[in-house]
Amino acid sequence: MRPPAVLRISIRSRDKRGFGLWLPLFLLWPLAAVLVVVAAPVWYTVAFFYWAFGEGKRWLIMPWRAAALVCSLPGLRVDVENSPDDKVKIHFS
Amino acid sequence: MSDDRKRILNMVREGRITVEEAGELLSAVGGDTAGSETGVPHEAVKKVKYLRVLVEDKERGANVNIRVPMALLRAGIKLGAILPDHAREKVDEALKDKGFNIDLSKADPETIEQLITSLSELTVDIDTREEGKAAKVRIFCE
Repeated sequence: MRPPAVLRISIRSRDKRGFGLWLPLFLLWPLAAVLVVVAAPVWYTVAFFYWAFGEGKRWLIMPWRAAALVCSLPGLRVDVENSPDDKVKIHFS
Repeated sequence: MSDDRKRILNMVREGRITVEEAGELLSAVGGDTAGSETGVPHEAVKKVKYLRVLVEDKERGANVNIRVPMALLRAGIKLGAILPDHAREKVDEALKDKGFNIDLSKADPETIEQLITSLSELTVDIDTREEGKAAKVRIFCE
């Protein structure tokens, strides 16, 4: 499993105007990695304090589960076509 | 899909039993199907990667094509199971409004796996032809 590398959005409206976006999400990976390194100590400190209230385990697991969710996005496709000239496409790959 | 499995999944959809109870029932009826612990043949478990929803409305020329990775379903349910109580209650309420009476807090990994592997056998075909209208809905796994 890996995070989504590219997000493609394509929108075409009835007046024939439309646009396509190719978003290179892989460029955000280093930024996300830095954020994780910075946020991890704070997050786990909070988890440590919440342990007393029985909520610590949830706080420990949550970032991993959230990461798993993001890493499951590749392959997700949503194509909606109201008419041949009115289309929206969202693809994660 | 066997009649027993269909009946259990219908009971979950109608909110008559919880996800946990459905898991136990599916395990119980799984014995009649050779292949895996969940009762789904190994070949089906390996092949299924996506849940597909196709809607075709020929009258309006509208089409919807959604492909959801099974891994995303799995990860979403697992994340939902550890949400704070107040947030999970809202999610449960929203699901209930849509006809899914599911308690996410009781969704342990084994139950989730059983439900998702059971989904791999799911195929729903709805074909409506009324007064010139032609709409088709297909939900299946691939």
